[in-house]
Amino acid sequence: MLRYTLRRLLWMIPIVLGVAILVFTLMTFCPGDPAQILLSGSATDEDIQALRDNLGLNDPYLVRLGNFLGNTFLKFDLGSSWMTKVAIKDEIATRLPRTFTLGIISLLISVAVGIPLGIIAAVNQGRLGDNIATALALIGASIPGFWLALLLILLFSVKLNWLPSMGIGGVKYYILPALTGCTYGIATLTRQTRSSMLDVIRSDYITTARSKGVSELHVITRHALKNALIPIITVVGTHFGMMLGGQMITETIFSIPGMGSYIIGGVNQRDYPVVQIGSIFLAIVFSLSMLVVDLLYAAADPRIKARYSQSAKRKVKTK
Amino acid sequence: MKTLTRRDFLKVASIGSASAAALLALASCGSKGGETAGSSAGTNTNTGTGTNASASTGSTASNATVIEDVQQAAAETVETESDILDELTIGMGGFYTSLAPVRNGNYQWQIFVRYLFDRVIYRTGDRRYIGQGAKEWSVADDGVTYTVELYDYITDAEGNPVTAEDVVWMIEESIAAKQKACYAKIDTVKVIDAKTFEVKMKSDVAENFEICMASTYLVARKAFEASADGFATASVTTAPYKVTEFVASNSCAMELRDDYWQKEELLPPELKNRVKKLTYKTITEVSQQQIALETGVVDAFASINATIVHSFEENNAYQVLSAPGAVGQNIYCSGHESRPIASDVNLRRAIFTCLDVDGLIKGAQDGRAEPMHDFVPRTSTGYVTKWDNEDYFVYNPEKAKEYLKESNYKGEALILSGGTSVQKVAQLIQGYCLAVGINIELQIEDQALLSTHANDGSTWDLALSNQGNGLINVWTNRFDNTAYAMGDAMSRHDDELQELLEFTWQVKNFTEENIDKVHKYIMDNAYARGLYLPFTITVQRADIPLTTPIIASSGEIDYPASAYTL
Repeated sequence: MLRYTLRRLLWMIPIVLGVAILVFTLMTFCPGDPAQILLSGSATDEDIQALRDNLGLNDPYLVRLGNFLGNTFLKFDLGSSWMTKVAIKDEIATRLPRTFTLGIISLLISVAVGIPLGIIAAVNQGRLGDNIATALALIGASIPGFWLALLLILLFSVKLNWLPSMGIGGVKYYILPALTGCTYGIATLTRQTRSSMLDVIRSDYITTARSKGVSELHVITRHALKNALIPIITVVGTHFGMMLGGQMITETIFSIPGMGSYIIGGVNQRDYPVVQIGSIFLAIVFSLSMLVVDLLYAAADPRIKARYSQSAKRKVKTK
Repeated sequence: MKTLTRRDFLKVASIGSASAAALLALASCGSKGGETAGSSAGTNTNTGTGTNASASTGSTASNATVIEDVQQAAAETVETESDILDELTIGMGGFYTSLAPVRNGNYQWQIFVRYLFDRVIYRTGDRRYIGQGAKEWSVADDGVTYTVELYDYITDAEGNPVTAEDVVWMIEESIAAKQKACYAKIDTVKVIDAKTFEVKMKSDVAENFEICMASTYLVARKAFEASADGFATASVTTAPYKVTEFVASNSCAMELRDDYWQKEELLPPELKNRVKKLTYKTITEVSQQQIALETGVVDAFASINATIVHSFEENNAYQVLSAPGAVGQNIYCSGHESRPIASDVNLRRAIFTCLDVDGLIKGAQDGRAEPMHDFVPRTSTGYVTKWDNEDYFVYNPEKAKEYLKESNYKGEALILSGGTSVQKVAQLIQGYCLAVGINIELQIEDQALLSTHANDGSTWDLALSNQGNGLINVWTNRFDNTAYAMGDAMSRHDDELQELLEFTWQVKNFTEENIDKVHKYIMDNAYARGLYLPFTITVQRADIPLTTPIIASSGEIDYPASAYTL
C-alpha cells in the first residue's frame, strides 16, 4: 500500500506540470492585456510597453514558460499578484482555509443527509419513502444555488435572525453557505447511494444473511452498504474536489473571500500569476483528494487493496 | 418492483408543495424592508456643540435627497464644531484588495484612500486643490518648475517622520512603477531641504502638477521598506486613521489615531474626522447589499446599485442621498480612416441628434442621472457653467434624418463598442439609431478584452466610455493625438484640434473663452458627445444624525468629514 501511495504521489508530478503548462498557455493566448488593465484607461502606448517589459510580457512564450516553471517548481517562488502586489502564498494561506472549511462542512452535511436518504430510498423501493427521497433528490439537483442562497438568507437571516447573512467569522458564518453548497451533493449522493444499494440488495449473500436471521439493520449497514460504498466514495471525492474549486457563486453571494473568488478575480483582471498558481494549487488538492478516494477504495474493499499491493510488487519485479 | 401509484404521487406532490410553500412564505415575510432598520447605528459621544447647517439642496421623494453643490455649501458653513460618532460601518460594492500605496489609478479617487494616506495636495469634491502635506507651493516663471514646502511635523502611525526625502522617494517609486499615467508628465524631482522639494514638469499643462501631487501619498520610506509586502496587507498610515483589521476583498476596520500629525485647527472642513471607528465591508452581490442595510450589517451603503434604491425610497427608516458622480457616460466616433464615419460629419451629427438622453437616463439609469452638456461632467475642473444653458445635440429625430440624407451612409452596420457595464445603454442607442435608419451592431466585451482595442478606432465606429476627473484629463486621454500610436483615443489625427488643445491647456491660456472654443470645435465636428452623468447614490439608515454631508471628489459621502448633531 505504501508503495502504491508513493507511486501515486509521483504520478502527481506530471499531472501538476501538465496543468501548469496548460493554464500558462491558455492565459498567454487569452485575449486581454494585463498591462493595459493595470495602467487603467489613461496610459499611453509608451507606458503600456514599458510595463509589459517590466512584467516580462514581451519575452517569447518559451522564455516566459521556462521562467514560470523554474520559479514555481525549482525556486518555490510563487510570486505576487500584479494587481494587488500581495504575495500569492500569503493570499492562498488566508483564503484556502475558508474554502476548505466551507467544503468540509458542505461535504459532511451531504454525506450525513445524502447517504441515509439513499439507503431509505433503496430499502423502500417503489414505496412512499423512495418517492419522497427521489423527489427531494430531484429538487436538490434542480434548484439553482444562487436562488436557494437568497431564500435561505431571507428565512434564516432577515426573518428569523438566527444566522449571519454574509461575511466571515466563526462556524455560524459557514452554515448558510454550506447549506447552499451541499444541496447538489445531497442530491447526487442520494441518487448514487440508492442506485448502488439496489444493485447489492438483491445479491445472494444478502438473501443468505437474511435467511440466517441477521437483523435487517445489520444486513443493510454491514453487508449491503459496505459493498455499495465504492461508487459512493467516488461521488464524495469528486464532490469535495468540486467544492474546493467551484465555490465562486457561493463565495460571491455570501461575501466570503475564498479561493474561488480569488481565481475568478484573477481571470477577469488577467492577473496571470494568480490564475496560474491558484489553478496549480487546486490541481494538487484535487489530485490529493482523488488519492484519498483510491485509498478509501482499498479500505472499503480488500480485493482492491490486494490488487494495489500486487500491482506495486509487479512493478518492483519488472525493474 | 412496485410502481408509483397515483395516490403515492399525490402524497409526494402535496408534501413537496407544502414544504416549498412554507419555505417561500417564511422567506418572503422578510423580503420587504419594513419600517425598522435592524440594529442601531452605533453609539455616539457628544463632544461638541453641533451645527445646524442645511444638509442639502433639491429633493425628490420623502426620504430621497439630491445633493447638488453641498460640498461648496459645507465648506462655507461647517465649522470645526460637530458631534463625533463613535462607530460607522459602510458597505461598498467594489473590492478593496490591497492597502498598497503604489498602485494604478483605478483606486486613486476612492474615498477609502483618504483614510489611509494623506497626500501632498488634496482634491476636494468641488475640484479645488488644497494643501494636505504641503504647507504651500509656488511655480517659477518658466511655468513648469514647482517648489513645494511640506509641514515639518508629519509623522506616520508608528511615529516615523515624513520629510521631503520621503516624498521625493515616493514620487520616484511611482514613476518607476509606471502605474499612474500622470507621473509621465514629470521631468525631474529633487530634494531642496528636509521640508522642501522641487518638481519640474515636462510642460506647463494646467492641472498636471496638481494631479501628480494629489496622486502622491505621504509614506515614510523607513516604514514602507520594513514592510514585507509593500503595505499590501498591513500599512502604516499617515492619514488620521490606523488600520486595525484588514481582510482583502472583505473588510477593513480603522480607528481614529490619537497621534495624528496635523493640528485640528489647521484641518479644512473637507479633511475633518468625526467618526472614531470606521469599517468598510465589501458586498458585491446586489441582493445582499439590500439585506446588509435591512439587517444592520452596515449603517450605510456607498455607491449602491441603482436597481435596489427604490426599495428604500418609500421607507422612512432610510435616507437616500444622491450626488453627481465624477465620471460621465460619453459616446465617441472613430477617427480612423478605414471607418466611413471618420470622414462623415453628417452621419456623426445624425447619430448624436437621434439620441434622447432623457430616455437613456430612464432606461439605463432608472432615472438616476442628469444630462450632460459637454463630454466632461459639470463636476470637472475647467467646466464652463454657461454650457448648461446652451443647446447640446438636442434630441430631434427629424433633424437626424435630414443629416442622414446629407451623409454618405448606405445602410451598413456600424459597430458600437463598450464594456459589459454599458450593455443596457448600448441597446437603447441601437434602438434610437434604428428608428432613424442607422444600423448598429453591438460589440460588448469584458473589461480585459475591451482594453486591448479601446483606443484602436479601426476596430469600431462608435465607442461608449466613462470619462471625467477634469477637463484636461479627458482632453489628454481622448483627444491628444500624440498620446497613442494611432493618434488620439479614437485614432484620429486632427492637427487643428491638436493645435487648439496645446494652446488652451497651457496654464496661462486655460481660460473660459479658450475652453469654450475647444468645446465648440468638438461639438461642431461631432467627434464626441456627453450623454449623462450618473448619480453616486448612498443609502443610509435614517438614525445616522448626519446634518451636513461632505462629498468627496468620487461623488461619495465622506462620512468622517461630514457634520453630525446628536
